[in-house]
This record gives sequence, structure tokens and C-alpha cells, in this order.
Amino acid sequence: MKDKVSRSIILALPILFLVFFFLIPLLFISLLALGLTPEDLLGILTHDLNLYFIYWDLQQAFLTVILCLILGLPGSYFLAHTKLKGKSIIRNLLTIPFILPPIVVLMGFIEVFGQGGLVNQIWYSLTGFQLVQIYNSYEGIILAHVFYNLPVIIRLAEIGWRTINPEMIGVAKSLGVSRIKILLKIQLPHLFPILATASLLVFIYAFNSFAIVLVLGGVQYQTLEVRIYSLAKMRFDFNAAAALTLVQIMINIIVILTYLYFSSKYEIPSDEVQEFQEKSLIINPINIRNLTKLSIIGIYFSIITILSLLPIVGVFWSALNSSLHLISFENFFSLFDRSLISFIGVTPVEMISNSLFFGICVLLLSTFLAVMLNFGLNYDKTATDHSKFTLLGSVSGIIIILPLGISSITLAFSLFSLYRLTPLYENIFIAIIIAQTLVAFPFVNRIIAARRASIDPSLIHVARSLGASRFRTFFRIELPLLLPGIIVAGLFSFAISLGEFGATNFLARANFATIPIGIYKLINTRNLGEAAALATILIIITVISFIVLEKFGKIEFKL
Amino acid sequence: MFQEDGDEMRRFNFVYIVFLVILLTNINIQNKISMSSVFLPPQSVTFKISDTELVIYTYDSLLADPEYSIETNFATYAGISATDITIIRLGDANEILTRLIAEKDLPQADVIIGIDNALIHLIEEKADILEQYIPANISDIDSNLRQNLDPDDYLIPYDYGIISLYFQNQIINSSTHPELTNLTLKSLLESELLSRLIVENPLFSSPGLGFLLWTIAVYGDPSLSFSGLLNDDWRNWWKTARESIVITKSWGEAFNIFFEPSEGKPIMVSYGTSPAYSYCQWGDDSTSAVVTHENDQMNAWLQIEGIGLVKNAPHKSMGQKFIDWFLGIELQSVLPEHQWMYPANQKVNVSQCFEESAIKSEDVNRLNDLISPTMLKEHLSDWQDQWEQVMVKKTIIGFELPFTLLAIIVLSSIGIKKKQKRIQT
Repeated sequence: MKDKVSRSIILALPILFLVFFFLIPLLFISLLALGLTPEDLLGILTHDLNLYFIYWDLQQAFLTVILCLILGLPGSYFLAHTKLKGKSIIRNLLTIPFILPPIVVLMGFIEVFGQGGLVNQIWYSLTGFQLVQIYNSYEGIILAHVFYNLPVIIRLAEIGWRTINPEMIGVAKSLGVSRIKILLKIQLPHLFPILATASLLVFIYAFNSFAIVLVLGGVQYQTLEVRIYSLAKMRFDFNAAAALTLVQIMINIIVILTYLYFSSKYEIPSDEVQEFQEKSLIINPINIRNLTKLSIIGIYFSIITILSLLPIVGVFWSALNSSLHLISFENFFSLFDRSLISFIGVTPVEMISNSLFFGICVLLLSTFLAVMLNFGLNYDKTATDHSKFTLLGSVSGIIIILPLGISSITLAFSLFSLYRLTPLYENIFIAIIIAQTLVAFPFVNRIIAARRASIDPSLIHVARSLGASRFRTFFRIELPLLLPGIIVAGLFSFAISLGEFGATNFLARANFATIPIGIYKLINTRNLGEAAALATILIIITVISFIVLEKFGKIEFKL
Repeated sequence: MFQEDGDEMRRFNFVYIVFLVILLTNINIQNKISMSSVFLPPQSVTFKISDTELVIYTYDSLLADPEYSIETNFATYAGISATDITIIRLGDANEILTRLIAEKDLPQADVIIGIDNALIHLIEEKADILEQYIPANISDIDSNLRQNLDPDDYLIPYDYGIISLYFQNQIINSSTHPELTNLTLKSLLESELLSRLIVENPLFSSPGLGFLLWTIAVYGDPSLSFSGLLNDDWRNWWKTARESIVITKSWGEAFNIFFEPSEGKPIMVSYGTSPAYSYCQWGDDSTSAVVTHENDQMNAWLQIEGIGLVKNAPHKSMGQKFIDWFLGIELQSVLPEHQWMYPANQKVNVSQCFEESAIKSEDVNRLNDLISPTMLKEHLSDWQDQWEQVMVKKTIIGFELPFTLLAIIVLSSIGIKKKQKRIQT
């Protein structure tokens, strides 16, 4: 009995947090939409443009997935099947775009593919016309999405290839089965679930894309996310925004459920298995027969790597390049120019300190909540009752999964519309912290839960039987063992908070502008040099957090 | 688990401290103790904006180029500290309205600056969010402007100017583009100029909205049996134009593209007063403005921007004091050359350079007279919506293809699964 009470007390805080700042606002939004008369609701949903943009959003997300698969699969096959010295370097370089905030990726994209960007300049001097037009163009948006999501496919598919037992293929080969048949009959079926999860993940990211489409899409192309934002923020049509939010949530939930279905269909091979597979690879001797193959692989990887790295190089280059000198810090200095402050509303120092402040708050809050949640959920778990299914467990399971399917604009919009009449609204920085915490929470929770699951329950059992109280056990055994997980999760949430744009931009008043908001405003006013300087600062902070993070644990793509 | 006892102790202490810090921080946040003062410079420490003595909502380019500090100047006038004035600059005037409507029951701002004679008609009930206030110096304000902006005095005009097409005359002039001398909206469609024109999105930007109303007044709207000047359909103009023009979110964005040579867009929707910007500051007369010449007269839309007191404003008397100051001679005489608009205060004269380079609103036929306030109120948001529908080309390229592919993938995966099962059994 006493156990149950203390367990509830521990669980109360994280659960209440999610209920008050996530579930109730979401319900409120649903009521806002469902409270409309059926004709009004139907009118909004069948509005020509709303309907069109729902279609378009689905379509562009789908195209992104297809293109990512076409581009990423060969690379992942190669990474999984070839022994090579600098493989982990290639792998890490390819991952960089994904860990960067979308607004930075967008920035780099504009630098490389934009009007007067590197690619267009070279192409222009060769042919006399621009190769790609990224503003207000479909190609531009798809290209940016592919660039951003390619790492997800490559890294997950690489794991996928490794789930296939090489012996099985060896047997098939010795029985004289053709290469293509092996691929179709053995490898692809094995690969399918993990490929499906990766594709659905990419689909979710592209479908809910905000910053990229907001800047590049113009009037012509809007994701639901952008549409909801402009309806709620610019045209004060809260009802229409709420109705579209509902549509978006439903689509997201369907995708997430399919995702969960497929992700239960495969298991990531353990480190030992992966190491064994890695060792079993042999270096093929270079001869004329595989020389062409090698060169094709070489060309493929140089293209992919260049594609992944060019935008970042572009940002650095543009930050350090100015009209007067080839290399200078002029752009960094001109960030302090008064005229720029009037665009952004705050000084760059304030902006950076705002970002760091939010980042640290989110780090502390989200890890604290996740640790509490996991402590509570595993409160009376001993070695024997692993499979015990509890109501509380499943409810909290849903609460934890849900935020994944809820986009950042929806989060901000629902927080805003429910709490606009309370003190929370007056202290808008708290709302920003809450929104960012909710964005980061699923990731943080996942990392900490994984770490918690790896703790041997008998340790706790032994401590308890030796007379240690439950709390003492927690502080002396679980928490120290959880620490690496907490650090990884914390840094992850810090990085998410730093790069978060959608929700923060929705909620923030000018004096709480963060670095991504500054970059957005500078891109909009075409102050690209200064935007690149800010983006450089953001890249450096993010990459440092991820380097530290990799020291403590692997970046997990599986949620 | 641990080899040494000391190691464990050290770890334990560290964890314990981290945990305590987390706990404390959370308590701090909940108690609204601003621990952020550690990170943030003084100005932004005031989290609760109503703690200051005056809160103003406006758009980001108000008196911004060259910058005129409203805070310091009003602080001197009112005898308060400049840090007690919070000016919140939102993206565009639309956002000011959204905030006001959202905060209807819990007003945060005292004064709003920047709602114009078009946007005002998007407010369903002015009395819900604004409070009538007649400033002490109302007699100095042009009564014609007051009538045109808001006869009920919820908003008082502070500046005005006609919308125009603003261009760089080294690239565009009457010898390179002869159509410029007698430009009409129709001839603009056939001109090379169209592909170089930047127009602000009328859903987000007030000059953009002014330009939309300009096209509606000239072309008319047959669905409302409103003939306009030409008895045509404004949608036709935009249908042709959408292939060539560039749409931006805000005036500021357009202005920066305009001055970026690599963009190749030396003409934009701006104000008749815009040429004064470079002429008065640097004696640079390389920019000009033009309006259209339908029916042998110069036609343009007049924009009037207003300032108003928020209903149930937290600092009402300071807000009223601010409005008096904002319409007074001191501010109104600096307004032309910081805001680049004509001041609403009749006692203020603009400088000679301003007079020479700007198009005076008296010299043009004001298209505003064609569209009555009741018509605006009834149809403005419809017009905005229809504009967007006209601009979005609803062609989903290869829409069928990806879905066919999806179907193939799903079907084949089911097939593979079934086969797998058959093999297993």
C-alpha cells in the first residue's frame, strides 16, 4: 500500500505535466474544431486550398521518401558490406545534416543552391541559365527535404542489411541462386520492416516540415504545418487552424501506429553481432573486374558526401566571406549593427543567451521528468514481473508516444489557445520552455528508458533485500547507473531546444528571440552573410553537444 | 558494479548534486524567480511585460530606418525610465491584430501602432479590442484622414502615403521601358517589367493588401457587380501576373530583394514617398515611383496608418500620454524622414527634398473612394482568400505516379509476406 502511494507521488509530476501541458491543450483544440457546426467544419475541410494542401503535403512527403530510398539504399548496402578504413568517418559525415536544426540546413541550402549560390553560379557560367530555382519551387523543397532526411535512411538501412545472417546468403550462393534472386527473396524481405520504419520516419519529418517550406514555399506550396501557422498567427482564424490541426494529428497518428507496428517486427542486432559481421567482411583485392564497380561506388559516395557537406561548408564560407575581404569576421561584427537589431528585435548577445537559457531549462526539465517517469514506472519492478501489464503502464505508454505524432506548431498553437487567458501567457518564456520540453521529451524519455531497461533488476532486488529503502536504492544504484543515459538525453534535449524553431517562433515575443528565429528573420530580409554567421554559431554549439554525446552513447535513430 | 568504494561515493555525490540542482531549478521556475538574470542582459529580465509602465505593439519597420528611438525620446518627454517602456515589434501589422484578438480578455498592450485603413475592416467589432480616445491635439490631425481611416475614432491617423510602384531608374526608365510614362495595370501585364516586380503578400502585409485593393478598384469584381474603373475582373490581372511576379511575405523582405543586384528585381510595390528615402539621406535620386494611368488620370490606393488605445489597457493613462506625444509636433516632424511617410499632423511641414521626390497623395485619384467602407468590411477577407486561390496553381504534377508506386510497394510487401509464410509452413 505504502509502495503504491509513493509510486503515485513520483509519477504524479511527469504525468500531470503531460496532462496539463499536452493532453488538455490538445483536447481543447479538438473541442475548438468539433465545436463548430458540421457545415462549418465541412466547409473548412473541403475548402479548395485546404484540401489541395493536404494532398500536396502528403505527396511531397511521399516523393521525399521515394527519393531518399533511391539515393540512400545503395550507400547503405555498401556501408554494410564493404570493409573500408574511413567508413565510420563517412558514416558520421553523412549524419551531420540530420543533427543540424532545419533552419541551419535551410540556410546552407540557400547558400549552395540559391540565386547566386555556388551551384547556380558554376552552372550559369557554363550554360548561361540557372540550374535550380529554390524559392517558390517544388524541386527546391523536395531537394531540401531529401538532403535533410537521407542520413535516416542510410543509417537505418545499414543496420537493416546487417540483420540478415550472412550464412543464409552463403548457403543460397552455394546452391547457385542468382544475385538478384538473393536480393529479392532473402535480403529485401528481411530488410523490409526496418526500411518501412525508416521511410515512415522520413515521411513524418517531411510531412510536418515547417521552416524549410515556410521560407521556400511562398504562396504556392504550403505544408499543413505552414498553413496552420498562417491561419492561426496571421489570419486569426483559430477555428480553421484547429480543424486542420485535427486532420494533421489523425494522419500523424496513423503513420506513427504503422511505424510502431513495423518497429516491433525487427530487432537491432546487438553490438557483438554487428562486430562479428564487421569482422567477417573481407577486403576484395583490386583487379580490373571490380575496378569499375569501385569507381562507381567512389563516385556515388563523393556525390552523396558532397551533397551532405556542401551546405555546411556553404554556411561557413558565407559567414567568413564578405564583400571586401575574402576571409574576415565582418559578418560576425555586423551582427552587432544597430540596423540589424531592428530586424530581429534583440541584440545577438541577448539572442544567444536566450537560446542557452532555454536550452539549459529544457535540458533540466525534460531529463528530470523522464527520470521521475522511469523511476515511477519501474518502482516495484523486480526480476520476476517483467511482463506484467498494468493499466497505468499502458496509459503512460500512450502519453509518451503521443507527442511524437504532434507537430511543434500544433503544440504551440494548443498551448497558446488554452493558456492565453492565464498567467502562463504573461510569462511567455515558461510556455516556450514547456513547448520545447514537450518536443524533446519523447527522445529524452526513449534514451533514459533504454538505459533503465539495461539495468539488471536483481541489483535492485539485492539492495532491497539487504534493507535499503526504495529511495536509497534509487539514489545509490539506479541513478548512478542511469547517469550516462541522463547525460546523453540531456545533451540531446539541449540540442533540440537550441534548434527548435516552429513552436518557439509561434510563441515568442520579440524579446525572447532565439538563434533560429534570428536566422529566419535575417534570411527573410536577405541578410545572408549575417544569417550565416549566426548559423555558424549554432552549428558549432550543436556539433559540440553531439560530439560530447557520442562519447557517452550512440545516437539512436530508432524511437 | 564498482571496483572501489570511493569511486562510488564520488559518483553518488555528483549525482545527488545534479539531482538537487534539477529540483531547485524546477521550484524556481514554478515560483517565477528569474534565475535567468544569470544568462540574460537586463532589458529582457522583465518577463511579465505588464510590470513595465507602457507596452506598445507595432510592426518591425516602424521608425526603423534610420532608427529613431521611441523609448528614449518618449521617456524624456514623460519623465519615466526608457527601460520601463516595452515596444514589441511583431512581423507585420496582421500579427498585431492576432495578438490583440487573442488577448481580448487579458490585455497585455496599452497602445497599438500600425493598423491601416484596410486592415481595420478585418476587425469584427472594434469596441471589443480598442477604446475610443480623442487625443488633446486632435485638431492638428487632418480630418479627412480621420474620416477615411475610422470615423469612430478608435484609431487616429499618424501617417499616410499612396501605394506606388517603386523602381531603380538606372535600370528602368522611360527610354528602356517606354510604357513607363503612361503605365496602366493592363500595360504592366504585357511589359517586361512584370517579371521584375516584387509584390508583398496581401494576406500578411499592409502595402500588399493596398495593392490588391488597387487592382480590385481598377479592374472591378463582376461577382459583386462592382465595375471598378475598367469593368473587368481583378482575378484576371493576378492570373496573368502570377506567372511572373515575385511574392514576398513582408515589405522588409521585398525592400532587401529590391536592393540586391543579383536578384534582378528592381521594381516593387512600395509607397509614393519611397524615393525620398535615398534622396533625402544621400542626395541619391536613382529611385523613382510611379502609379497607374487608367482613364487618363493617375490612380493609386491611399494607405492611412493609425494608432489606438487598447481596451482595458493595463496602463491606460500612460498609453493616452503616449498617443498625445506620438501625434504631437515633436514626433510628427521627425516621422517623415524616419518612417518615410507623410505625417498626419497638419502643422508639420515636410522638408524640401521630401517634397521634391515623393508623390503627393493630393495629385492622384484616390481609388479608396471607389470601394466603400461597408464593401470593404463585407468582402475584404473573402478577397484575401480568393486572391490566394487565384495565386495557387492547383496542378499536382504526377499525382498519380507516386500513389501507384505506393500501391505497388504495399501490394508487393503483402505478397512477399505471404510467400514467406508459405515457405515457413
